[in-house]
Amino acid sequence: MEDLKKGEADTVCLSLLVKGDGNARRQVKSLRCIAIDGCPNECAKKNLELADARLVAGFRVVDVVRENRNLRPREVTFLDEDGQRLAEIVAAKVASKMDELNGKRVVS
Amino acid sequence: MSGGCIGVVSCSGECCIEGTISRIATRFVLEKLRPDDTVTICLPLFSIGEEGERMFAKEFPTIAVDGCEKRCAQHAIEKFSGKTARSLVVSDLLKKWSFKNMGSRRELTIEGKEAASQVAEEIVAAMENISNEVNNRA
Repeated sequence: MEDLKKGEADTVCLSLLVKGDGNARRQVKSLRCIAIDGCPNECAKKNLELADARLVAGFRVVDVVRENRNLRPREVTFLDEDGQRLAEIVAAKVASKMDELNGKRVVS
Repeated sequence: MSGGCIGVVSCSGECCIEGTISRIATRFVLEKLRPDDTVTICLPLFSIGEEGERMFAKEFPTIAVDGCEKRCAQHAIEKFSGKTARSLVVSDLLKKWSFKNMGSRRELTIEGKEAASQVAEEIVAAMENISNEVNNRA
């Protein structure tokens, strides 16, 4: 998002929401939120729902991995080349969703 | 205590480089330094999880590894699961050391990775401290 939507998107520490921080809760209630979850537990999405956030979209990295079976990330701590490529694909999907939400024409 | 394992839980830390260092330091402990006697859990699972997740800090003596002074990991563990055995705050540790160019929250430089290694050593020291306490009580 720093590369694709600099100045148009911000992030909130998920831990702050889990802790129940008042400012973080107010932030996700007032701004449109996109949840990006790594696994099917969907912790980001569910914690946003618990905080009554303005949740407008959600992505699961596990789905993106399934859609791109040629990419096989093997490292957890630091992303390898395939992991980096998957991160770029997820970022592009989120940026495209932001354009759609902002009424911009999306070329798929 | 289950099989002598110790829980290490880091903050998710998206907002600052110290959060990135807390996650990577925790991974170093899990993968390299203490793979056989360390367990972890994703912090957000505490609030959405079931009884099993919430028993974590009761089952394992747990070390919270937080990036900043907000101490989200420590507060969330204690809110949902149980008292932490130790709490480390990366921003406090970094004040004692002389790392300067650690990179960004997205990518650590070599110096940032060295800082994460040093935090990992602090986690291991806290683990040894806890193990000694448990052994002394036994």
